Amino acid sequence: MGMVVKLKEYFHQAGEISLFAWRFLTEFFRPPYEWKELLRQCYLIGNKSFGLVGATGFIMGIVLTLQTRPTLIEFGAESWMPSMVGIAIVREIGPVLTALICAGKIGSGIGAELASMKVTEQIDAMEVSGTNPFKYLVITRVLACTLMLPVLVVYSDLISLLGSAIVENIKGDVSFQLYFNNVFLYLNFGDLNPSILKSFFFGFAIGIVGCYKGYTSDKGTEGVGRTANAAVVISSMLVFVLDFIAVLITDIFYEL
Amino acid sequence: MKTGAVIDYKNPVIGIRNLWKSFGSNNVLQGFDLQLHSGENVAIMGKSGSGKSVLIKCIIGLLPIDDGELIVLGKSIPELNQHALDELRTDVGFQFQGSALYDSMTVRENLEFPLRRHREKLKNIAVDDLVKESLENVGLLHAIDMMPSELSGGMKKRIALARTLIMRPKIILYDEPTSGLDPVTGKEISMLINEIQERFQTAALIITHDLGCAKVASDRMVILHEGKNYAESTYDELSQSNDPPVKAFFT
Amino acid sequence: MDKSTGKTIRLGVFVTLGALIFTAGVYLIGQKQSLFSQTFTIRAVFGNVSGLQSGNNVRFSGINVGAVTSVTFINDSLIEVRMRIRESYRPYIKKNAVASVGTDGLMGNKLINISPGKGMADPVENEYMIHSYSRVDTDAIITTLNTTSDNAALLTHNLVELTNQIRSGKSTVHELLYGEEMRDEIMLTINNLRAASETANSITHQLNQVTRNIRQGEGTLGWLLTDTTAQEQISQTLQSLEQTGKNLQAITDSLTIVIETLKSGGGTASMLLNDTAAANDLKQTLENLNSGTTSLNNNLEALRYSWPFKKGIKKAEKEAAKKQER
Repeated sequence: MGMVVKLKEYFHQAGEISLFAWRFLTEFFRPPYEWKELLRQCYLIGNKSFGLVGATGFIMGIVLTLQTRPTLIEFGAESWMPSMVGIAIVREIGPVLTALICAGKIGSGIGAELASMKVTEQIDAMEVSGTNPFKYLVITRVLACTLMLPVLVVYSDLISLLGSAIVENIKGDVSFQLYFNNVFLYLNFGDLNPSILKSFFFGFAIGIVGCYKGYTSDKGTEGVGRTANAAVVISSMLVFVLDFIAVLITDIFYEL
Repeated sequence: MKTGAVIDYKNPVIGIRNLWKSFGSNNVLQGFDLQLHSGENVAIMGKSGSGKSVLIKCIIGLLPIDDGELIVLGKSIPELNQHALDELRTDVGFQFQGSALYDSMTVRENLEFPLRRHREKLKNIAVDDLVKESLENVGLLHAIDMMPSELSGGMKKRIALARTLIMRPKIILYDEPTSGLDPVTGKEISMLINEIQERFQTAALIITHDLGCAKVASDRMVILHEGKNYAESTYDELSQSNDPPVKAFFT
Repeated sequence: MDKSTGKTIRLGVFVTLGALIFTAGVYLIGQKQSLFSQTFTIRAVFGNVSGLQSGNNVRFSGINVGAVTSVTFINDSLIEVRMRIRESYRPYIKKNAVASVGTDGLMGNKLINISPGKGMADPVENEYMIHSYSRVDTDAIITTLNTTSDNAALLTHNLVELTNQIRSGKSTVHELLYGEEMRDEIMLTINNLRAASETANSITHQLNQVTRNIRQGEGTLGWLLTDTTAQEQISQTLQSLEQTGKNLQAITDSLTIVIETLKSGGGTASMLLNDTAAANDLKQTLENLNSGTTSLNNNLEALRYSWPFKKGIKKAEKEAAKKQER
């Protein structure tokens, strides 16, 4: 495939996703609102990822602490461990790790679900039965993702810190109380706010890409798998791009 | 040949004149004409890819048309806004080829789904009774709390039909109602279509390439060939035709 | 269909470019953080900026108030540093504020420290040049001290020679100086001088070592020098040391003259020494010298225990001890 074709394809996709996001924004404010379905999706998305996010967060906390300890001990700065790990997790690792896990779990799930609904004409059936499928399927899912991801991030942060505290407690002589005192001594809202804020955007990106891929899938049954795959790839990529931009913006407001 | 159906030939419910529809350079419908009368079942036959599904999706407003006149229940589809289209759709049932039951919902929830938006039309009837009655009509009341994945192909078609019927539509559009079914079940579905026509006095367009279904369920047949209404008549007359494109369907 | 695809592609290009431009914009704004608020410029001139670059932070009493915008030569020995300061801090920075080059933290970047001056002054204006303060150049002090101790050594040598002559000789000088008191005085002076010169020598050596240490471990000790209190303490110590050195030099100079005069002997000397006033003068000079060397000694002792040098000096002593052991 030639370079030009690839570029064209990329721009076409970027344009379509933008249009899709725009449609989301315009339809979002128009009634009717699907509250019940939104709550159901929030529950599903939050609940589905709780275990996975918790497990990865816990392991990340442990690994990060184990890997950093020797270096800090060399500098004689073990007492900085809680604050260092805390800041690393809250600022960057928590949100990005959670977003990536969710891109894999939720993004692919939404993509595959909507794609199969599209293929089996369920979306058409909704349209025909007088329910706007965009509102019922897309808006609720995107919104649920956007709202749930920050919750998952906070949850993942806490679990990670817990994992780190356990390592410190076992390997070093740091009580849980001392550990968390230390963490919260150095942590302020300047660390937490930007990371929560960017989690909303991560959630939106994951939801919108998953829904776009699923909602516009038209390649039949075999397209379902490919849709899920593409949803994960694009949303993971977007998470990193958004993170980059978010860090640049955070720099302006908080470093000064 | 069919008893019980009351066809009012002075009252067309669908009027299509010179309908054009194309996808890119692929001209699917090239000036299609059709009249469907109140209480009448019309079977539309055509080769795969001849645009049968496109035609009924245009009628229900799922696909925009390029040119021509398309009037359903006295309203011109291309001129309707979303709200009016939704209103109209409560009177037009659509039976999807693959049943299109919502995977994530039980049979009960599937049947309740179309009612969510149209309570005002049915406010005097308890939803639960309505669901049960509809399921009884298709003989599947026992499946009310099952998930679609637990149902067989024929059961799915029946449930989907029950979901369509719950709105008491004046017109039902069937997209390949017997496809993917064994001949016996296919015949049952065809009989069910007739039964519905007689009981509820609905008009129906039946997209099919199942001759048996067309024979049993239709009052009139239309051959869709090269994007046009190539021939239309009763099953018996068309089956005697010597015109090669028509004859091809009956051999 | 084709038409709408073209439109979508154009939208995609637009969105992508928009995102890129936005990112670049945000990045650039982040680079020049101070652009975000109203700023003004102040200047300072330094002899040495120790690696300061444009973009380095500017701190006023420990608060980040802006950034260095340019570091340029204005002639072969002076460097002008321009700083962009946020407008909101202007009322607090007075015209008598002093800028110095420091280091951020243990291993950090260079930065400009602006310290408030003593007393009252108006707030700075745009393009105002504030005073700068270069850290006391330890090299200069050490050079002076070296010269002093060299002189002292020479002087002592001359004095010894002279005294020997006086003791053995039967000159008028001998008679004049026959009084016990005078001789003791001179002996004491000589001893003191010797001790002083020795201490001065060793201190100079140690100071050299310390400076070397400072220079090598610029980061490690640098933070001490960024701290204003420590800085002042050190600079005071060094200044008093410099002063003492200068005093001592003055004394030794005058003593040298006297001794040279004595040495040249002859009529002039006897005439000089017969004169009571002249004798008194000499006595006074010797007393001055005495007190001068004592105070130098004190100063040097104080310096030895002044904390920034303690470590270096101890190290030097240890090394010396090691050498002795060998």
